[in-house]
Amino acid sequence: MGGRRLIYLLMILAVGLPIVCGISQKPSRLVSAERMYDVVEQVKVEPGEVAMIWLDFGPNTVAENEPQTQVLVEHLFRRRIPVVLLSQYQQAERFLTKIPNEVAKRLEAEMPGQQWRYGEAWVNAGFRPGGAIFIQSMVNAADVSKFLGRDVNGMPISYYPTFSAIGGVERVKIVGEITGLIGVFDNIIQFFQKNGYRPTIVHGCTSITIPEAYIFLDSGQLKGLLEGIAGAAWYSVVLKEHFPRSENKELLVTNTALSAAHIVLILLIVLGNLVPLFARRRANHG
Amino acid sequence: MVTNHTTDTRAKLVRIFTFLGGIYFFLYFVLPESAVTVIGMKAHHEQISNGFIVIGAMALGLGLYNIMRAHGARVVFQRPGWFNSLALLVGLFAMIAATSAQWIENVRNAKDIRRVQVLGEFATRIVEDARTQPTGRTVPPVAERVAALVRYGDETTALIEAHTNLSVQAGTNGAASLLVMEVRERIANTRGKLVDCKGSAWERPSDEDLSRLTQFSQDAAKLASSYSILKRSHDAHSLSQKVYDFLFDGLFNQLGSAMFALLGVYIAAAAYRAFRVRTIESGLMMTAAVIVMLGQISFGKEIYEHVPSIRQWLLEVPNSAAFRAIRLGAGVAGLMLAIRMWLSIESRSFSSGRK
Repeated sequence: MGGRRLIYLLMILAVGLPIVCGISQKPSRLVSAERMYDVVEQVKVEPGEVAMIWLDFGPNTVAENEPQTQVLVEHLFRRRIPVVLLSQYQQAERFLTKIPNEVAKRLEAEMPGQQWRYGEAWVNAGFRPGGAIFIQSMVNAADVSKFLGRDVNGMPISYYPTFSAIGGVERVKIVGEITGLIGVFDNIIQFFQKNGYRPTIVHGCTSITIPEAYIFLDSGQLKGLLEGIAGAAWYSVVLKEHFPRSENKELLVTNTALSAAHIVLILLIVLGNLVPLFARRRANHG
Repeated sequence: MVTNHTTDTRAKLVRIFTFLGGIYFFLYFVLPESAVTVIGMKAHHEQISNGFIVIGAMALGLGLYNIMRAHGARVVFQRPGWFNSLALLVGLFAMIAATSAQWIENVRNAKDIRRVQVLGEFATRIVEDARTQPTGRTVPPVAERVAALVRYGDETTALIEAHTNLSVQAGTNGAASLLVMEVRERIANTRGKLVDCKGSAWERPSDEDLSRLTQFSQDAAKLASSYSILKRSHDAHSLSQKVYDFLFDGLFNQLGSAMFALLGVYIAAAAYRAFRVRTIESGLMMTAAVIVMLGQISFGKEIYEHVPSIRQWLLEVPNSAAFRAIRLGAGVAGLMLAIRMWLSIESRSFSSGRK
């Protein structure tokens, strides 16, 4: 019982100290995040074309998925690519407004005079039930704006000039899926395509689903991947290299705290193996 | 006897609909686009899919009903754990109330914003109809339509001005804020154009008159855009929004995150107690796990420079191979399960009345 308390205390200290003291270390270089940055940077978007970001996470995995969304949306906003945000998961509804709003405010503070307004830079199409069937229908719709109908505020999406004439799904140039759930990413990979059209798909996943995501990255179905907080942290470093005024200090601190927790975990694994080994040896010698 | 007959009919109906639904989506996915168009499936696919989505959404209502039935009974009869059920129901109704209030507010806002958008669209339509005589419909004379537009414009700009003043008085938007100044400037522009419209002779509108009307339409669209942002920033401070923020950010988000964060300490305890190397296989697994962890964290590179590259290789090669095998196996199993469900072999509960 006492041992368990000590382990809990160690974990709390490992996670808490970097956060309280604001310690941040440069994150590990993750190739998959760099690939994602390049894809977003190089995608060519004509007027009327958009990016579509699915936020399929709730409070459970917000710690990992929120920073991923922030860096991706920040990059798309910096490139002035209009973003349609929507979700297959009802608990994500709140984040569809909160995250882009925060990113827009941060960018507006960084670049006075420039604006990223709702309805111009982004639109929130809300929670969409139906999963795979919904995606299949949208892919086959003649006009995505009309198919989506109204936004979360009850306004028809086609009334916003930037999103008034998206047209067919071919005009969705980049698709992002940020999730901690099983199955929703498969829906995108499987059904977000039609004859002669396969969008550029990027994905932000929780650490627990990284191994599964790698099979799609390896096959080329996925063009870029954000692996948990570490992926978002490295993406933010790459962003800062290209846009020196981009600030994501909080994310780097969180990543450092997580790294410290990993070190404690590794030490505990080693200790858990060494202690019984020495105990056995001592018993044998005794 | 009657009950058995009803159950039989219901079971048959469920089987028929399951089969038809399955074969429809199978054919739509498998057949080439040309064939789907010729059969006529393409023309109705959107409506059919919407029907399925609606049926799926109805499950939410069913879930709500089940929760209320199960937990409501527990509260009413004070069965063990009734207090937890009460907390669940209070949370459920509080969230429904907060979200509904927000929804009503959004609908009201959308109506107001739409009013401004209609102003611009009306002007555009007058210009289009004046330039190209509309076919298949009769429209009132231009002068009459412009008079209506001016009346409607005066009312709408007065409404926006009142909302802007209200927002300034409530302190949700400062009088000197860029947004308020922008809205006021655009109201003034729109009103200026309305005054110009009043001064023209619309019985026989000239090209100049019509281009002035087009300009008015563009100004009205700009006003609608600024007004929608002002409305939303005002509503961000409304009571319903504050209650929703408190419930979602203050409670739901924090409790959900805390529940998941508990996993961290459990994993740490498990790492110490359960991750023992007893065989070569478990040794390999532990080594791989440690390398993957080290490769992902900030300090990994300090320990050994090539750790991130080794991690990358582990994930790309052995991990991908193993996961593909798992996914293929799961895929075949899923296919078998789907066929069983499609043919209603799996749905014994539909015929449970005939034990």
